[in-house]
Amino acid sequence: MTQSQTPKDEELRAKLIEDTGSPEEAERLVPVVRRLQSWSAPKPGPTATVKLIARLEAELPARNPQLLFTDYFSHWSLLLLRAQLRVVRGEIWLASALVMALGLLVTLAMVSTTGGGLLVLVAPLVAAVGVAFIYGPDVDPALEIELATPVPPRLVLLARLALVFGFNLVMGLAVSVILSLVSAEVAFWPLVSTWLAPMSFLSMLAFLLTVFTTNSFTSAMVSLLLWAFQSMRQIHGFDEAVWFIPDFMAASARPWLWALALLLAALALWLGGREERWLLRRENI
Amino acid sequence: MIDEVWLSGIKWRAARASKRGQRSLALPTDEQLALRVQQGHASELAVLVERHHSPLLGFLYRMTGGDRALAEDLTQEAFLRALRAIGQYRYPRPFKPWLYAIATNLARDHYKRAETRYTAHADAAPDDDSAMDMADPDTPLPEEAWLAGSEARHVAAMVKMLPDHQREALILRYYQNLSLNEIAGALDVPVGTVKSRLSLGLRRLREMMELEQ
Repeated sequence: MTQSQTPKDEELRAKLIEDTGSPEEAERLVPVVRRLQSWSAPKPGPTATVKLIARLEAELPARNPQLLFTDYFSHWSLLLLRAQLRVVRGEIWLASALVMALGLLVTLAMVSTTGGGLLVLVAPLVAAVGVAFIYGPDVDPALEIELATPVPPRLVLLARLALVFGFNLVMGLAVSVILSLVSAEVAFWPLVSTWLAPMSFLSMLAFLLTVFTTNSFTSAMVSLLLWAFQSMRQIHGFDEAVWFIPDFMAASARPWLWALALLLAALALWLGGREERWLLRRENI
Repeated sequence: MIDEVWLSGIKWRAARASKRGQRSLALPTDEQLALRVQQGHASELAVLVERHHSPLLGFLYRMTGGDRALAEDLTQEAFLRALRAIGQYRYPRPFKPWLYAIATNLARDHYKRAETRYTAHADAAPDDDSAMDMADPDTPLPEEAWLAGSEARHVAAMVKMLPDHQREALILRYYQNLSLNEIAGALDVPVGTVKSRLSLGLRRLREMMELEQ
């Protein structure tokens, strides 16, 4: 069998190997396919294509812009989330799950004396520390690849934020369900509304700090410190020492916390998407 | 107007990406275009037809054993069926196998309906026009054209002698250059079945070519 060195023939051999699973058989079939290719097909003239298009346009369905959102954007959102799932550090999921499980056990043990109080302190902190590690040179070494993708950096950040915050939210809800089922003293919705606003605020604060300082560790430490003060505020005897910290657990603080959380998230996303910031990060790497 | 904005948006993003030294964005995919056609956008329909008219005509031409007039009718019918069924297309399912599935079914239906007529024409040779097309792009000498035409007629006759399912797989693979997965999607069979049809079809063709010699 004649061995041709042209790339086209190499391509054909590779194709035949893929089809037959045998290099020897592929080699025997190369002349067969070469001969097949001598049978070419006619091409439609430009007028034929224009006529066909005109004929088809008459059959075009009525416009339905709703489909664009439901099919196109939902698909891309899912793809983006799936891609970011691989990028976010595995330790975040594990550490968050472990701490929440531990929090659940301790809260269960002390539920008669503290209600769901411990969960209210644990859930925001776990979420904030997780969110602190979604950005920064330590977290994201594949910056060059990221910059080469057509997805805007802000969208990448938002996807990661949604993943990590969403994960912690689901875990917090699951723990709250368990607590409300196990203990008659704990009601589901009041418990959730107590930790949800502080959790959103603290997470978005950690997010902004991470983007601003490009240092996840600093962000996590600041969140930890702030939450330590907040926890002290809840303990009788220590509350006077931290009088300067507002009570995040109070129902009156919730609207403010939500508003601040939104503001911080928007600021972080704006900051995180700026090109010069990405260039700065590249220099850091 | 919206179409223009959409297309210019794609071009703008491509230019921006290129300016930044990033990977340039490709033209809209078949799937994106099909989604826009679902919404009734005429400009995307035109792009899709321009992309697939010639390959689909080639596919049906070979499926019909070289009957150009029939292939042209079936091609138009295939596009019409695809357009009428566009609401059933689910983004981001690959568009090409979906379109070729419609065309394959159309060819099968045609021969089921006109089996008697098909038998009567079974010995028909491919059109002389196509025989002229297949050779060198430069104008061939009359004897070269005749030889090439003769070769094409032989090949067409051999392909025609293959069982339908082997012929379909073979044409999709070696003339239309579809991947194994795309063929599996178009014929609605597993990839393993596609491979076995291709192997058997090629072996049979080789035997025929050996006998011919």
